[in-house]
Amino acid sequence: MVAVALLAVFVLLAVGCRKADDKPKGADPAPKTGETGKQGGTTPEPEKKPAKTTMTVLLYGEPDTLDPIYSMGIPEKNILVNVGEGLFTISKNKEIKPVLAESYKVIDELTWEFKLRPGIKFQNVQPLNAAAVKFNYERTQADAGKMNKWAGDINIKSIEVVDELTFRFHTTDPTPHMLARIADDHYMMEPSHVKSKTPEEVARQPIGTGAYKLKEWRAGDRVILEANENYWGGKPTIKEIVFRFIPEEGTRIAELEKGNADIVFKVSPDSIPLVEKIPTAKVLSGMGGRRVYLGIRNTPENLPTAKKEVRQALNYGVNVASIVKNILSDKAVRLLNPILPPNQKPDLPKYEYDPEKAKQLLAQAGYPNGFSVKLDAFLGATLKDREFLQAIVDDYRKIGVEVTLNIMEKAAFGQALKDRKNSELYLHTAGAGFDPALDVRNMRPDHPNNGHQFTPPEFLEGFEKIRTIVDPKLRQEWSYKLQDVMSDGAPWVFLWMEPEVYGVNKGLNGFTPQGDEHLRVFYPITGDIITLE
Amino acid sequence: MGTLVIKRLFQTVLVMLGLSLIVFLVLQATADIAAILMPGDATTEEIEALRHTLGLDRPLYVQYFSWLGGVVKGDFGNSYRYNLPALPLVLKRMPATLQLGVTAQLIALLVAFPLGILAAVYRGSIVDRFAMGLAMLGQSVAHFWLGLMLIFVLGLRFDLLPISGTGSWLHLIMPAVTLSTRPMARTARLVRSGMLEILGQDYIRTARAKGLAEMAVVRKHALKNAMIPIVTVIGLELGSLLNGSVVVENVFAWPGVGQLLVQSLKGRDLPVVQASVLLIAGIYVFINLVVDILYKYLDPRVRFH
Repeated sequence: MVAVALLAVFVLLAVGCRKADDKPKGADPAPKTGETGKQGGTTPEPEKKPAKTTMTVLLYGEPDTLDPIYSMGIPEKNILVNVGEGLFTISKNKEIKPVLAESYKVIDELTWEFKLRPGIKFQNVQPLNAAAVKFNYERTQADAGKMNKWAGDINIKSIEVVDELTFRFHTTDPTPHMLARIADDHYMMEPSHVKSKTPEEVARQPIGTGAYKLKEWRAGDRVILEANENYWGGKPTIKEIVFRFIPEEGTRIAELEKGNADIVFKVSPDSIPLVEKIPTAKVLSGMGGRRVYLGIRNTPENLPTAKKEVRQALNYGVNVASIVKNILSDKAVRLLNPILPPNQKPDLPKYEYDPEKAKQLLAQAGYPNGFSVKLDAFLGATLKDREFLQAIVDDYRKIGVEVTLNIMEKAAFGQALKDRKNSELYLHTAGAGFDPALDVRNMRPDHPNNGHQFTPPEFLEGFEKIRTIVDPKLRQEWSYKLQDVMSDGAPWVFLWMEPEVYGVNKGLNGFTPQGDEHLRVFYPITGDIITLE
Repeated sequence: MGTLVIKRLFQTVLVMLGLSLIVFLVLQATADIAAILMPGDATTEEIEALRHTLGLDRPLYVQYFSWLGGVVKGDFGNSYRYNLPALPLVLKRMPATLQLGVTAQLIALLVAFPLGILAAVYRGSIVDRFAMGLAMLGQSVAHFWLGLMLIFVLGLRFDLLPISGTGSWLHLIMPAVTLSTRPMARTARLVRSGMLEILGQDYIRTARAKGLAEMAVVRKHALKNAMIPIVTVIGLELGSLLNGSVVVENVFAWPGVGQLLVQSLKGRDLPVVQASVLLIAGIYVFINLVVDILYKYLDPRVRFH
């Protein structure tokens, strides 16, 4: 009783002391008319609402650093993509589009020449020139071997400044995936700023060429960006972006419902109906870039899974469509091959669920009564893993394959893969590379995550070709051949592409989830311009 | 008295040393940190290079003593994630956690004392049963669930309080109330049992017999004597509040050490985890020390023992 009374006193005090500015900001009060809350529902619009200039984005974690050469997580990339710009970026239809670069040409297979757009300035009014690009890439070269995410796969030997706006990358090996690599969050930072500050300061105060500049970073709470009024691409309509860090999904959705958020990251399948019920919000989803698969061990040769027929049977034996529909709220897209669209071969064969065919293939491989295997996994790697793993075990039981789940701690799982001590099956995910060679980079025989050890000669040949052939047409031919080899040889059980799902304020326009979990607020050059009503 | 304090201080140093060894070994033993820190597509050579840079390729005892040497000077090394010194990172988050913990403790005491006293004075009545029922509920309710329910009811349905984050003292109410449930429950039960024990003593009967008002008997004679064991528990509760804040800070996006600790554990940011755990443990041990010393003042029996 006393507790209740005290609580009541607190609440009354809270109400009494409430300041005017404590009222929910963000979206306007919920329309009382019959909005459905679902995407595409009818929305009677009595009058035009004024455009909002502050956007609140709820991320699930805080950035580690805002120094682009060390940034690996989604929170930091989403802030940096608005503060900085790279030479290229990934556009809505997953194509690579120039941003700071105006043009490029391949001089020979070891030399790439780029020309920068003229007149671009950093946020501290210093000019963007070839020397600045050289500085940025040389900084990553000097720091290779640390937690530097730019250095891998780029093969840069030296950078030559040709004139004020032209520079050349000289590479150690042919690097046909160069554009995709430099479009992958390689944001240019202003050299004099980086040189004059300590690494700690650089990590906290990025100065790029983007449409927004850092205004404030409150540790553990939020990062605030403000519009860069001198932005070379135009004047951003949204003047301030507030990125808040809220680890708990339920809390993020409650903030969206209260009107305190415009975009909520990482809405899980279970929460989609909750967001759809909010009158002022909608669900936006797109085909994500993260591939979810079961790696199948190919070595040693006496393993049942070393036989191609068994691997194909394991692909026919999982009812992927049912899992996607019933467990993933129908938001995930079936995975056909490690190489993804737009580089995927048209009309690749699909392993439709066919338990009879699976049994037949098992019999053909010499296992008419099936066999027993273990499946390694660490939980939390992908959406609803606990649930779909059970469904997979059940599906395999129907074709005579007894699967024992071996749930491991993430680090132990990674270690087992690296030491090639993993079980016959393992659940894993891999991010998209937006290039055939980058899509299969973790299938390199010595890659730490390569627990399947799929190494038929035709695979190794194709793998090498797409990493070295610069001629686009010839490279595509090899890429298609390699995709056939992988579809037929089935190094993985191809599951699905993890969806990107957001809860979004209905007044928000111009945001298209594009598979890389990046929120580009003002990129006129790729047509990404977000506005708020 | 002085010897007692020195003895306890010496024990505290030993406890901290033991703790440092456990914190160091448990975290080192969990995995290949270098492999986890590198991007998924890193080569074995790149991982080896990072391991060397971080000094993780040295024998464990060398790593421990070099780390301990730094810790003594307040240097826990640089955070792998933030590339900033680990201790200042943790210390920066400490005020938020302490603010939450102390507020929760105050709420707990404000509720627990009246609840425990009423339950003892009206022993066996409906008041007692209600109070102890509430205490049991407080003891068993999951912070995670209660936090989300408060958000749903007070934040959303009645729109009385902000849902998450910081900014005003209103933001503090829901996380502090959530965090206060367990210490409230434990303290209320302890106050009740302590009061019951004292209320049955001869000197209470004497006090009543000499015609003192019941209020004065309870306040002056019973409560004061019942306080002794309660002080110990309050001290320990303050320490456990720091642990509880790990869940509560994540639910309410409260920017304290708890949230930092969870993120750092997920990312295997050893220096930050080590600094946070040792700091929290250090505060816990320190509070214990203070309580022990305080105890000796409150309870003359200990002083003469």
